[in-house]
Parts: sequence; structure tokens; C-alpha cells
Amino acid sequence: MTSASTAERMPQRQIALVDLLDRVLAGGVVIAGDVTLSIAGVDLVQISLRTIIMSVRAGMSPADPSDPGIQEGDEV
Amino acid sequence: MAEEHVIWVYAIISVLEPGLLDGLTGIGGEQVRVVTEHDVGAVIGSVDARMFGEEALQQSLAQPGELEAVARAHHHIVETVAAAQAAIPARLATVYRDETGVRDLLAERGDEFAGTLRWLSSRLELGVKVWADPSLLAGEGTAEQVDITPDGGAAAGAGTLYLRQRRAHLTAREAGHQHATRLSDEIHAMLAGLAVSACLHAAQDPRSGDDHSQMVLNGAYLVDSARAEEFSAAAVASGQEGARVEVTGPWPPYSFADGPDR
Repeated sequence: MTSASTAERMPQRQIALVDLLDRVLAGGVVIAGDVTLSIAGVDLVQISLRTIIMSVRAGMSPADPSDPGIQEGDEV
Repeated sequence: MAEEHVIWVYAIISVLEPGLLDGLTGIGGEQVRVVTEHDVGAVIGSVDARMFGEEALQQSLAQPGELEAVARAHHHIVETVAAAQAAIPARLATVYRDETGVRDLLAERGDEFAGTLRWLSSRLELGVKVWADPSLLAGEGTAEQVDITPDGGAAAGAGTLYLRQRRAHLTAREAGHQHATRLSDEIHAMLAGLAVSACLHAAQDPRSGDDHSQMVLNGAYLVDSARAEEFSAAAVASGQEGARVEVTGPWPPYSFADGPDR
């Protein structure tokens, strides 16, 4: 069982995904490995990053669930 | 068989603290382990190539849910290791075909990694975000308000009055943004003075359900562990009316993984 490591996970609230993505996608040492994906610079990830942030925000929003979601460039 | 797995790299360390990785499972539920070469080690895991090979990753990381799960699982390992000893986090999705590639890497860049590890030792990363309220950005309370009272515009018609109000509004707005920029520059400079190193991340988008606050600072600071509390207190104290400060972390030194000479 892996209950020990799961149980030891900090009781503090979960860190914000946007803050984590700032770091794991743009930070960390870049190693030219066999299959290293330089995903941070690729459009694919830029796009999905936006999607995630949108969906995370939509999830936090108290707005009604029938809302089709936040449009890109909605708020400036 | 070896061909079915690829090697996921979590972090670079020096000598492993005994027992640190016991029972610790990684992004694919695998037991995390260390390979060492010349006193520098890589924290790695063997993961299913069908899930974490190049093609599979390109696809799965484009899915928000998958990316989040992988990012959190990767972070869990990096955080656990970095809490116990100096560690250089590897960027997400650093994958090798086999252990030989990792060993070659350690042999090749061992000296550089050792230098970075010494630099990172007993230090941690803190994040500081500053949000400017709409009122601050709109320049409410800034000095140069144009006189738009009926008296001041006695001879002016409605159109002129509108234009003057509009101009006053824009002037205040510009002043508000300048004020916010200046404030974030000042806070960043002050915090950088307390830190070993500092860098800036791109400002995050406004949050929905929020009050249209705008992020004017998204900084990362490498701080001596012994000064972390002092640093956090200074960060919090730098907030003022209209400017909310949020401290995050401590983080593994993701933003400083390239070492002192980057």
C-alpha cells in the first residue's frame, strides 16, 4: 500500500495550478535528453495552458454552470 | 523489458539522504530511484513508454486534466526531495530512453550541476504576486484631477464638459497604471535586495469571479532558508491600499535551476 506517502501529503490547501505551471513549464533545468520535449516553447502547450487556465477559472467561478465558459480575450 | 519503459527525470541531487525515496511513487505510480555518477545523482523513475513516450506525451499534455495530474505528480517528487536536500528540479517532461543516457548526462554536466547544487544549498524559492485593485489602476485619488465642476466649466457646453471629463478620466487612468508599475518595481527591487537571486514570471491573467484586479508583479526569489520568514514578512508588509500582496511557496528552486551564471 502507498497509504503512508499519501497520508503524509501536506494538510495545507492544494497549491494553485497556475503557479505550479509557471514553474514546471518555464522553470527547471533544461536537459537535452533523448526525448526531451521542450514543451514550454511549443504552441501546443501555449494553447493547452490557456485552456487549462480558462477551465480552472471556470471551475472557481461562482457563475452559473449553464455559462458556456469564458471566451479567450474576454477580460482585459 | 527495457524497451517498454522510458526514464523520467525529476531532479538532480548530490548524495541521496538515506530512506528519502522509500515508498515514494512517481508520475506513473513507479518507485522513484536514483542513479549516481561522480557524486551527482538524478532522481528518476521508469515509466510506461506507451504513456510517457514522446508521442503519447505530446498528446496527453495537451489535455488540461492530464497536464495537471502529471505536473502535480512531478512536483510531489521534486518537492519531497528538495525539502530534504539541495535539488535542481528538472523541467517537466525530461525523458530518456534508458539509464545510460542519464548517466552520460551526469558525467557530462556533473561539475556544472555540483556548482548549482552548492549555490542552491540551504536556500528556497518564494513567489510574490502583487494584484492592483481596479481603483488603483483607475487612478482614483491621484493628484491631478481636472476641475469639472459647473463653476470651472461655466462657459462650457455639454459636449465640452464631456470631453473634459473623459480626458480627466484617461489622465487619471494613465497615472494609475504608472503608479501600479512604479509600485511593483519598488516592491521587486526591495525583495530582490533580500534575496540571493530574483526573476520575473509573466503576469497571470485576471481571475474570473474576481474583482478585475490586475497582476502587476509575478516574481520569484531565491532566499536563504534562514531568512525566509523575514522575507515573507517584508513582502506582506509591502502591500498597501489598492495593492494586494500574495506570497507563495516555499517552492523547490524551479526558477533558479540554471544556477548562478544563467
